[in-house]
Amino acid sequence: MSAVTGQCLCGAVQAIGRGTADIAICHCKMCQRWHGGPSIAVNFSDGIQVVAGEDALAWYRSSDWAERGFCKTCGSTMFYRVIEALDELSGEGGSFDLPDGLPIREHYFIDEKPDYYDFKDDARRVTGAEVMARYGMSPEGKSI
Amino acid sequence: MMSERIQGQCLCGDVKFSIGSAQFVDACHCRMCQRWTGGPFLAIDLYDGDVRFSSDASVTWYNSSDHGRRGFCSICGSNLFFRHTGDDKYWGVLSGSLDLPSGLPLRQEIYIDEKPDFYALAGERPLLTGAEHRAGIEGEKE
Repeated sequence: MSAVTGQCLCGAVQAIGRGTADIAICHCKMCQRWHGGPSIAVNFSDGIQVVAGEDALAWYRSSDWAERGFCKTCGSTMFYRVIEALDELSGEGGSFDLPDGLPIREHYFIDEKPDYYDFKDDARRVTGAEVMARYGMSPEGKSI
Repeated sequence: MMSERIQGQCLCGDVKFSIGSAQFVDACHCRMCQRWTGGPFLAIDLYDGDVRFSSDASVTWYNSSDHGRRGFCSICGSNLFFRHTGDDKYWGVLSGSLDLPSGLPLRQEIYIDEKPDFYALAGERPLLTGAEHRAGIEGEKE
């Protein structure tokens, strides 16, 4: 895959994702509150570039280490980035015009998933504690 | 006995509300919902208008079509509500914003023809195309 386009619902914010893409699904309560359901995150090997509507993007700092970007006009929940690497955006699958056949890498915070949905794929399921340990944080470090 | 109301809020907590009850969750895979929430739209459908706010100053509405509008928190961006134009009773309340009891069924998936390839929900339930869903709504009006 070379490049795919993305945008918010109203079209004010436009982005391009470059390189190979994969999907990671997060079930944590913070993502649930924000998206209204799980986060279907897409990551591109060569990154995401916002190409239009940067001034329409608002950033909300949801924890001590990360912030979430949304469109001020339509409210589309689009991006996640850690504060130490503000140029490295993680996107949402629904924002982008993705080709078929993308792999799901992992499901995060499976212990916070509500019971009314499950996904069909057999990608690895990891708990919040496992995710936090991977990044050298205690589970208590995650604040809602 | 008064049953307890189900509490809801956005991520930052500036929008706080409650709903009277929840019987089931519905899923929508349409392209507009994908663009808005970033993935499938999961919501409690309320037909009785029983949504009460304790804090709603930050709720912002976006008219996404002639048929509906979408409500989000202007501070944190949380996706919260979908309303039908001309229907004061209907509220679609995004399930992730709510503290739901366990055991709720996922009743149906609509706009299955617009679902992208990169995810699929597990389980058996009615799967309606956009045309089938719209025909059902028209049928209810007649």
